[in-house]
Amino acid sequence: MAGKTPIVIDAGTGYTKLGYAGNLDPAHIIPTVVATRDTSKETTLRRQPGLEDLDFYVGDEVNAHKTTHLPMFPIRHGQVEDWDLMERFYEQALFKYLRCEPEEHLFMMSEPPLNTPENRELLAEVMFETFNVKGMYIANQAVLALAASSASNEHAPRELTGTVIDSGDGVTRVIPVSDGCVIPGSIKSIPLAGREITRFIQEFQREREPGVVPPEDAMEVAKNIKENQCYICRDLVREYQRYDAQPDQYFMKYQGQQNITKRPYTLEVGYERFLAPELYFNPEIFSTEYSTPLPDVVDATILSCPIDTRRSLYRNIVLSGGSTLFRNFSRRLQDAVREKVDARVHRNEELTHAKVTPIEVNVLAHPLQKFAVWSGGSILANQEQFVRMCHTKEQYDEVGPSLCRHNLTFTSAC
Amino acid sequence: MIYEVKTKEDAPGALFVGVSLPGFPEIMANGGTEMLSSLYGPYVNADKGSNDLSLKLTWASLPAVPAEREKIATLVANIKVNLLAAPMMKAIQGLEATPPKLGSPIQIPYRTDGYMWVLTAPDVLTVGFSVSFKDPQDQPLARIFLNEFVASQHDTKLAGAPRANVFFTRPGELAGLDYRAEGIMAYVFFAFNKQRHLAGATREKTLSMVQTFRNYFQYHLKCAKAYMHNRMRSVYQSSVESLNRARPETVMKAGTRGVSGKLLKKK
Repeated sequence: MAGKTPIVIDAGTGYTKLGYAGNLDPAHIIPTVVATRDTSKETTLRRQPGLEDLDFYVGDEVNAHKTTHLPMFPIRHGQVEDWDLMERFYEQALFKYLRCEPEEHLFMMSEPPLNTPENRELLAEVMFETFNVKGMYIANQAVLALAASSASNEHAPRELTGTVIDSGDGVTRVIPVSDGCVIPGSIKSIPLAGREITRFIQEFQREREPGVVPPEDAMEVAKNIKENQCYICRDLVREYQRYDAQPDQYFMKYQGQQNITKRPYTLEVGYERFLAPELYFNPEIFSTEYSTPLPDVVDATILSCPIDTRRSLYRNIVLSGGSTLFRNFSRRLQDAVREKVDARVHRNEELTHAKVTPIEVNVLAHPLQKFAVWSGGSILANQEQFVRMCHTKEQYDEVGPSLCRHNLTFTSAC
Repeated sequence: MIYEVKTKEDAPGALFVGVSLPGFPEIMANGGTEMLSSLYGPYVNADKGSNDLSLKLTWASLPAVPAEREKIATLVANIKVNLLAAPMMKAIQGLEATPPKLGSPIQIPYRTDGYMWVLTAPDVLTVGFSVSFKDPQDQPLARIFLNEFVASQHDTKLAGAPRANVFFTRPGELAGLDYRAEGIMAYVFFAFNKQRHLAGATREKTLSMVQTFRNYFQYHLKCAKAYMHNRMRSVYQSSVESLNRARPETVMKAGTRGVSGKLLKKK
């Protein structure tokens, strides 16, 4: 029989994506949460040993057992905080969801952009010692997102150099990657992301039509509107005028139903359709503390990188994560960044009277954007070179956990 | 077990589900052929390619009712369960015949490193599995688990459960069979009573549950390992804490340098 398909696991703060390499979408998307009775923290042995080691729930099952088991989140801000919980989470992820024999598969694991080497060692310990996996590779999330864009978009360059804009639920990060390596000193993050957009829509609804949406559904309704009806406009003022001139064309209706009484309700969706995603371009609408728009952050990030990488970083700006799925996001961002860059080039020409080769700015949207990290992992793990790049169980037994502090870098996505 | 789900350009509207399983020829020789023709008859694809078996579902031939479609999808998804249950079904049919026909032991190499045996005795169907663990650290743990099986035979609470027998050496029932015995730690046999476990609706449940033995054993072993790791970490942590408490406090004398590098003055 041919070698078994590698397994790709992208563990995120909110959801963990699991699946087999070679597929475009993850097979399972489960919330990263573990509910335990927490007897393992006791140091004294119990009189009657039972099945404490199996007494926990993960993912969607947690909700049903909230009364007896305490839900806990092993990952905070992208970093694994509690390895005991994570070990339990992986048990069910592998045996219950993927139903695989870990000893026979290679594993592609993802790590956040600024992961510590100690965390990599701990991951290696869990994977190699508890599960005896055959081999493992730890890849950076930004690199995987870049790989997904590169493989799915024919206009994208083949080499793994570019700026990744990763915007999920909690935080938006701008991460420059050069030849498959993250430039750690230049990573910038914005504390605003999908959750803020949802909250904004929710408040907007409450102010305009108070009492229409039942409070327990408010969050879900706002999420639905965000995902299906919001888009990014070219010009705020023009968009306002357009809405005021032809309200019946632009104002939309949202149909909902109360969960228990089944009472239907309708609400109007108006300006928030284009106002909510303005978070990225006019953050002052949302937050008093943070007011730098995304294009400025992208520009500043690239300018803080080594000078020989900057042109290729501008040429390949890649989107990743669910909150970058708004229509026209890439076009608006591209125009804004290009404007800034062109102005600077122009000013430079004026001052030095020398001709500067124009800088190419490209923001690439691609079909795998939503689960870009997982899809990138799936693409890279499907390559022939992946087998050579994995750390194997034999090597681990010889060297120990420090083996996984460093991982080889992929040079191209195809 | 490898699945290959694909569509082909030259066959629009058709979905191909390819299945490869070690021990497939043995299953087919022992009741698999009958099972396939009765359950999957209209879907079996003659051109199986590199797989052991190929199913072809054409969009046009599917029933229009969603519930019916779901039934077919469940049937296709259960292919592995049904394939592995086929030899057991054949043995059960032998038991139920009058007079009962007791066949010779059936051996299915259902994994590259594992065997399943189906044996029959009057009124009893016995399904056996080989247990092997490659990792030297897993082996002693597995031995503890297996001894637990032996102990469970005397547990009164489990009186209704099928009897589990564990052999650490080659049992006599498998005397005439040819298999690779190296690496096999133990043999676990489950004996199912014809009336209690194999009658009516319980039969299907029994046959699908017994197949999960190996997976559940693996899962439980890994969980036990992780649980012990958790315990070891917390014991270690608490010992470090009490050691830290026991350490005598160092008193800074006047004239030594403090953290900031300044000389400490006499108070």
